[in-house]
Amino acid sequence: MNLWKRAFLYSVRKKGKTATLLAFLLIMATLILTCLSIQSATKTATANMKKALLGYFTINARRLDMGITEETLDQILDMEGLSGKYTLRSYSYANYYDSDGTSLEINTEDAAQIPEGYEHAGRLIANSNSGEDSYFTEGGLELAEGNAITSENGNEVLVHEKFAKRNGLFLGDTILLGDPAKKNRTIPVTIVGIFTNTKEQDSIGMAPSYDLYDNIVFTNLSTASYLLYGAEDKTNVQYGDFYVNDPDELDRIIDETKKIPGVEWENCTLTRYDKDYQNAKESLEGLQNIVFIAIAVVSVICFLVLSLFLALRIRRRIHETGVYLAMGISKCAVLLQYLAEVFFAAVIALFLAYGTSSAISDQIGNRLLSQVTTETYETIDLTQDTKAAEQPTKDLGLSEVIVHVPTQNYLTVWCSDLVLCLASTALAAYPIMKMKPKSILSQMS
Amino acid sequence: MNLGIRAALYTMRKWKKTLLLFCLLLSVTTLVLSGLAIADAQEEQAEEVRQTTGASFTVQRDLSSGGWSSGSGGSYSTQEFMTGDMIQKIAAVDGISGYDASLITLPRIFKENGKELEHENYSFYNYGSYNSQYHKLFLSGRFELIEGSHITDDMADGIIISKELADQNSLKIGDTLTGIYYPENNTPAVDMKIVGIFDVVADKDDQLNMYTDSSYYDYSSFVFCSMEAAEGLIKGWGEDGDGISEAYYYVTDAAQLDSVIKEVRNIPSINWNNYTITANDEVYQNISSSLTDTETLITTLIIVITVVSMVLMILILSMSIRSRKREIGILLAVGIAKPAVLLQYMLETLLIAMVAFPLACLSSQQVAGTLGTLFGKTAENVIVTPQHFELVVIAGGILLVVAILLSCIPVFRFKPKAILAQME
Amino acid sequence: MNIIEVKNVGYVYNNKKKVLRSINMSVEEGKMYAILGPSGCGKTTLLSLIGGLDSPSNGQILYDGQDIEKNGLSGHRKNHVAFIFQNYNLIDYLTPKENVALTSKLPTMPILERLGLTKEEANRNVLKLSGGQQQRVAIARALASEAKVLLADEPTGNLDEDTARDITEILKESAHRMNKCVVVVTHSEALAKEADVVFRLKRGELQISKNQERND
Repeated sequence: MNLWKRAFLYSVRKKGKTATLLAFLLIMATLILTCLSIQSATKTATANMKKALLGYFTINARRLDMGITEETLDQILDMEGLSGKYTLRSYSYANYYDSDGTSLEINTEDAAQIPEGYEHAGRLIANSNSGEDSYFTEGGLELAEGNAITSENGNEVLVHEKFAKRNGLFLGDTILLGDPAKKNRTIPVTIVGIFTNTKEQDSIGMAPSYDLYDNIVFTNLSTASYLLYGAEDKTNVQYGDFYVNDPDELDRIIDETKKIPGVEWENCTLTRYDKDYQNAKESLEGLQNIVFIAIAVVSVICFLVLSLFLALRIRRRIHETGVYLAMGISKCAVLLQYLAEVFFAAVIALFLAYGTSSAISDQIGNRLLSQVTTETYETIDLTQDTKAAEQPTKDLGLSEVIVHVPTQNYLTVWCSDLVLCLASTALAAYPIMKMKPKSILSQMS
Repeated sequence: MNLGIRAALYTMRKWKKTLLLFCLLLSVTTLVLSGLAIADAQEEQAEEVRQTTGASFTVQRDLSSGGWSSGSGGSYSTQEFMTGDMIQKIAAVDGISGYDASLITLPRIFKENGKELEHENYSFYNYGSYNSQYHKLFLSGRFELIEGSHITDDMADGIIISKELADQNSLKIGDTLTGIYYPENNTPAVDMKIVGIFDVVADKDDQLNMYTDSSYYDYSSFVFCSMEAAEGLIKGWGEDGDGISEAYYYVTDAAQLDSVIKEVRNIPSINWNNYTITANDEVYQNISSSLTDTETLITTLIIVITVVSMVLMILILSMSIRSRKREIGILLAVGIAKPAVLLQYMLETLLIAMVAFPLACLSSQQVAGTLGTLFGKTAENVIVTPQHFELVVIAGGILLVVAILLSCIPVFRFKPKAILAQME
Repeated sequence: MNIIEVKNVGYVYNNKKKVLRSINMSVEEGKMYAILGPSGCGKTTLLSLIGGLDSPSNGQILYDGQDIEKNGLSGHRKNHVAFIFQNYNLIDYLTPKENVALTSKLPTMPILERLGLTKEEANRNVLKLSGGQQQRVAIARALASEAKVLLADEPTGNLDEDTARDITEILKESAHRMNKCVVVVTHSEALAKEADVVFRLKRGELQISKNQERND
């Protein structure tokens, strides 16, 4: 009878023992696989946190003749590590005319001075999304009528309530924006929104006329591009804020950006902003370390328990070992038989473990985790006048935290578990195999 | 022979089996203890993360409930300013880690020899500050202190200046400067000592600003001075027009922001009709769901570990009892009662556990530490506390007893004869 | 023709106690030998040495004129000798048939039937057989191997008188009919009486008693 048959018969006939071994291996493999799936999920969660801490860098290309061109922008956006969230901005000044070309009136009363040539002009602000401009997010500007400007193209403007009133303008009216500097560029734009300020401008009496809230205008990037660069069908911008997935990579990304050809980078200013991340960095690393240590502890102890368990099992079979040896079956064959038995059980247990750990992981994923991608943030609503309550919900583009058993992990666990089982069986069997058959037989009785 | 002696003898004579069982118990207990310590450490760590998000609230004058008056530069609010007393009172509320408020003055600053400092603007943009480290410009990373210390609320006459200004006028920490708000109007001269130098990180050339007062000043002309010094600058002059209109408070735990604000609102001596509170915990809101996910994941991991450990313990003990079926048969055959046999086994297990549990306490600390250092990760906050140990001893003890009971049931269901007949 | 020769074999237990001193004996095929002696006199040790379960401290054991250690004790156990134990030592997760199949590639039923087991018994759990039947299976396992020497250690020690007599008979037949060399270690005079040659082991020394007349 060969050892495979003996191993098979042992596994089948000693149902209780095989079941215990199977249960043991199954539990261990499930535990380790679950741990690994949890670890990979925490990795996603941490990456989300890093992303949510909104590290970004700003390119200031104001001094370039053509600003940041569309081609450069495409190249920047193609770089690895960017989260895909970015804001483009341009700032200029414009003379205001009505559709007939008559100059419009601005607020001059509160101004410290009215620079020459700017008697009918104001600051022009173009942003990928006017609602996200700091005037609105921090400065207390608020839309009173109409909509924010969210598209790059389209000749639209937002004007101040007082400016509209002063010049008898309404939503839907068309005005002309002209370049105050030199080049006779004018562009017709439609008023799509009227804003007002909730806070007093504190630089009243200090600011030149064009900086007064009353006199500023928000517009599309393309409009600003035309006025600044004369680019008709292309949109060049002065500034870009580019958000990254992992603030740790900011330096690399900035370095890579500077390698994009065709741009005089020496005339640009690139600034990194990752204070929030820098603040949280250490604690986040601590959190990751804890996950890592947890997994490491589990793995090490699992392996320890498993080897002890297998040692216990082998010790129970001294008697049988003695009989086989007395029959002239070689130690090697006996050991191989024991290994084969554990192998059978391990193979089955590891297959089953995939199922059980997947089931557990699914439960964790479905029941316990908040699904960040679909979740909208609940902001603290303390009183009717807290600002936080008014904040719009945000989409940070975070990845969904999925708890699942990764195939690669599975294979690793598979192989390492098998090796471990076999090694610990061999190790446990070693003292028995070293004994003389006679002492084994005398120990039995 | 009583069962105590039997238990002791078995434990000693079958020392190999005892040792194996001991090692298993030790490993499993270590696992659970490490798990508990890790669970606590992660809670602490998550709290630390929440602390770093700079969750804050702003108390400011409520302009809508105050009157308005017009002056030379346009209309201004007559709403009352915040008093130092009020600011301190709020700062004393539990859960607030830091605060700052700004009293803005535009002084001209002179060196010890009476020469005015050279810089880009006509006057300086000076923030009177309680704790400049909590000033928005520092918190947002636009400025960075590179030398000396920040202004703190116990400083009477400190000032921090930009590096550029320091270089331009060869100033260093410890030098004394004299500030005068309006020299031509004979406002008081205030001596201030340089305590720190900051560097400008932000790109001032970025036109992303709202043309507030400060935007007409070069960053190098920004200075921060002690609140007391700032108050000195305006003493007897323009006190009615200049004052503190907002104060910023940073909370220790972003999750507690809500309750801290509620407590602040309950301070009786403040007339909340004249002030509003704005919460700002954007960073925390952004990461809170991911943070909660991480916490949930680790907690789940610990639960899984604990449950698995319990199952393992039962499996191991039932294995060890089952292998002693023959012995049970013999003991029953010689007339020892089933409860006595059961008790003997429990005693044996508890004897082992008595040694294994305290040792596990040590080893769990070691395991986390060693594994941490092995992979270059810090594990100093993974600490096994006496509470953990207590929990494990009590729960572990109960579990062991239950496990033995459970594994004895199938054996005890047989009659002694049947048990003996099953043996070879 | 002597199949096994024991030459000047001594055995020291734990470097102290001399269990055997200078034993000389030889056995041949077709005969049944008994080694008789009180408990602890070294009978089992001597049997173990002959069976290659252990090596002697001094002296040598020859099988077919060759030192058994020369080709490995494991090979000796596998090919030359077969053990029969007092406590049967059957593998408990194998049926009688499978236990016999451990040592033989030939069909196992004929030998089991010859030793008096039914087909049903041959497929039962070995632990559910009576002691006598278990010993028959053990003997069948020994006979099924190609070993010429059967080494039996108190084969009847656990059995009642009637069964013991049956087992003794089987062993005798194995020697006389199947031409095996059967060496039985026992303290039972009744069993020894059936042997062709009786050795007496006393204080580690062997004495050959008188050859007995063949009964059959």
